[in-house]
Amino acid sequence: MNKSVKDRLLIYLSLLIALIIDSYNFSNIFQFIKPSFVLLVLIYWNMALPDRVGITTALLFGVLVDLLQSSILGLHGLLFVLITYLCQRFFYQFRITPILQQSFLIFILMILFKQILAFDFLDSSVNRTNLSDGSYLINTFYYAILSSISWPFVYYLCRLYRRRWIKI
Amino acid sequence: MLRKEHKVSHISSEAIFAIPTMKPTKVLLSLIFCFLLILSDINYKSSDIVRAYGKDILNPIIYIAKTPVFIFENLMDFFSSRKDLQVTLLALKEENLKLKSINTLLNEISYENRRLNSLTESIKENTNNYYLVKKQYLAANDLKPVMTVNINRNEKGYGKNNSILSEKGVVGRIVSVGFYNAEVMLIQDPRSLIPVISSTSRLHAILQGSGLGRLGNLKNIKKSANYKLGEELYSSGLGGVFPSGYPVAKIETIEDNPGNEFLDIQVSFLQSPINQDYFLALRDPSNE
Repeated sequence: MNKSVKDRLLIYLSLLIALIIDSYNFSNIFQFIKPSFVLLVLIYWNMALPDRVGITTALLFGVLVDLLQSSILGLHGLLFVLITYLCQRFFYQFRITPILQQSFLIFILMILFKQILAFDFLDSSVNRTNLSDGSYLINTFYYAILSSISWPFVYYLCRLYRRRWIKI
Repeated sequence: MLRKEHKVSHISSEAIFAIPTMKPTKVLLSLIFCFLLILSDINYKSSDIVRAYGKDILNPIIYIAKTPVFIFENLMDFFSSRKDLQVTLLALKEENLKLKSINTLLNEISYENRRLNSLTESIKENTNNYYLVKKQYLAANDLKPVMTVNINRNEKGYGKNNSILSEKGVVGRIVSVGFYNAEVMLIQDPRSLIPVISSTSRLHAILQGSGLGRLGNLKNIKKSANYKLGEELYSSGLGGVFPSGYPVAKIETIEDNPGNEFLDIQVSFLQSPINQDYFLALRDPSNE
């Protein structure tokens, strides 16, 4: 098999594993604050191998997450494409920053991501464009914290996977 | 410079700075595509047709995610001793007795309630009108909670707008149907509107959700309306989507703000699908 195709398949496999982890259903509040591992793994690949992942991967997994999360079709796709673009645009800077600083950037990114998901696209509330409230803000904070804590694990795990299987 | 002596990386002979960034045109086209998808979904609800079928495709992923817990639970069952099981059985028997006595009390209350409100209709319901559904996945966005349930497509009367109920009352309604899965819009969803009737004051209203774990609110209630705190709200059956007589919510606060044309009434929902796995779906005879 062509090396490039094999690499892409291995990257898709890692994203699929992340999707499996994301699709686990928790029977408590953790369900609403659990980190999105698909997004974290996608960020890693955009940073590590920007020439192997791109818009198509982001779009495909965005739509899959849309289906899983029952959100408006295309919403996660749109956000994943934007994040992919940002990561690829600034990956030179991002990959040389220390891991703690990367976690902080992930924290900021995840707060924005979660807040955009709260937009009232279907106009269900008369006076507001964003459905976010105090409780949602707290959830957003926990979500971002958990994502930034998870980032070093995702980073080193994906790096191990890349060095073991992809060998670039 | 020799290939091996490359300053950037010894693993790759290709300099990382040589990788070109993404083409803006491609990004722009993708964004336009996503916007079109979003707009068609918002305006025409186009994804409702395909969404549940998409869930069918994702079914194996959800099953794989559940497998470790399933194996762990089975192993725990296997290794739990007979003694443990006997203790559990005894505790369950005790619990059962307690529940039976509570049930008797509830029957008494229910009898009184029946005379007051439309619960009579729900008591008369035939048990064959319901079929069992299992929760598959609950969306991680608590502001727009949508639940996916496992369903048997061969069930008679299965289809869109089937009401989903729990032992505590109305949970939501099916909005998208697939081969093995269906999507349920919960009554806590801000998009959900459910006609209700109050238990004692017998006033009709429309109840709108605000997200899971949040208080819902009654829409456009005149200031002269005589609602009482703690009053329970039942589905009124108006509109023909939800059956009448099922408990929905309880009034928590009533505020009369001078700047507001209507009363501000907040209610707490009686059921939450977070820690529950099985639900009942009400058959729709028109789908048979």
